[in-house]
Amino acid sequence: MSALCLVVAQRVPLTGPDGSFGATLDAHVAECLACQAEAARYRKLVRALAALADDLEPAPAGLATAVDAALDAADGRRRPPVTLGRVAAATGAVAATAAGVLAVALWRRARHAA
Amino acid sequence: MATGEVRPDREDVLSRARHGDRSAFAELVREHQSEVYTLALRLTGDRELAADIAQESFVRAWRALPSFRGDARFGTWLHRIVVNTAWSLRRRAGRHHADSIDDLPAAPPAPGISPERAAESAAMRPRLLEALGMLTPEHRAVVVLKDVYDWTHRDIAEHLGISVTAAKVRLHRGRRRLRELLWSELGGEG
Repeated sequence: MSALCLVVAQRVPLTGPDGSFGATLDAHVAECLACQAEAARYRKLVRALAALADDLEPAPAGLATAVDAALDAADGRRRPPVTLGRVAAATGAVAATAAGVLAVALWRRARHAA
Repeated sequence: MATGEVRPDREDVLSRARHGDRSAFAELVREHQSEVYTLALRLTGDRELAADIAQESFVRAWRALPSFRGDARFGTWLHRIVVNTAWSLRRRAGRHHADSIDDLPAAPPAPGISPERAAESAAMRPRLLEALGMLTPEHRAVVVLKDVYDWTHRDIAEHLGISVTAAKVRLHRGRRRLRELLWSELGGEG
């Protein structure tokens, strides 16, 4: 790896795989397989990132309803709602607590039977 | 309609929402909720937080809607609100970690690219999302906005409250880190 390769490796993350590095470095890249491979890696990375733009995640169920409730609350029509993410967290906490209580009850019953 | 553009036949809905029609705004929410949630998720890597950001973004959008003059497309305007909301909640984001890749659903290939390239990107997707989740919030935000949403450095700097130079430095470091994390997927040897 030459000094020019090190300069290309330093610049390609910002310049982009298809950008110009200037005449001297461009001429080097045209002849250097290592630099071409490095540019190809960034080309593949940038392409994969760009592909995420059309890759929509489904919104969580209830988002539109939660927004509506939040706007109602802002208008003073209802009590302030908890936010959607916190609802999910609270539901998980309640489920975990219930599971814990059930486990203790089963353990006590098994112990009593023994 | 990845950029969230409002179709011409939906402009009346936008107009009604701008004039305070809640039912019209509810239609816009249903129409844009996936893209808003997706952007929030890409910025944070956390589904619970992304849901909260999406909800708060729509509330802020409703409040700001009367001032929306149509200089930018509605989707672009909405994206900026999401970024501002996500960034203002970044302290919470710092306490969260990215979701497991096991939670990530499969996605169809992006249109407009060759099947081979689409397959290549799709194969990389789980590891790419995992790697994005390993970046610092500051680096991830810049990489996502530049490389996924094609924002300019100037827009990124303005909405994240940093200089253009800082935006470029973060992009440079973020991409280099992704290259390290995805070395084998990018065809690296050794």
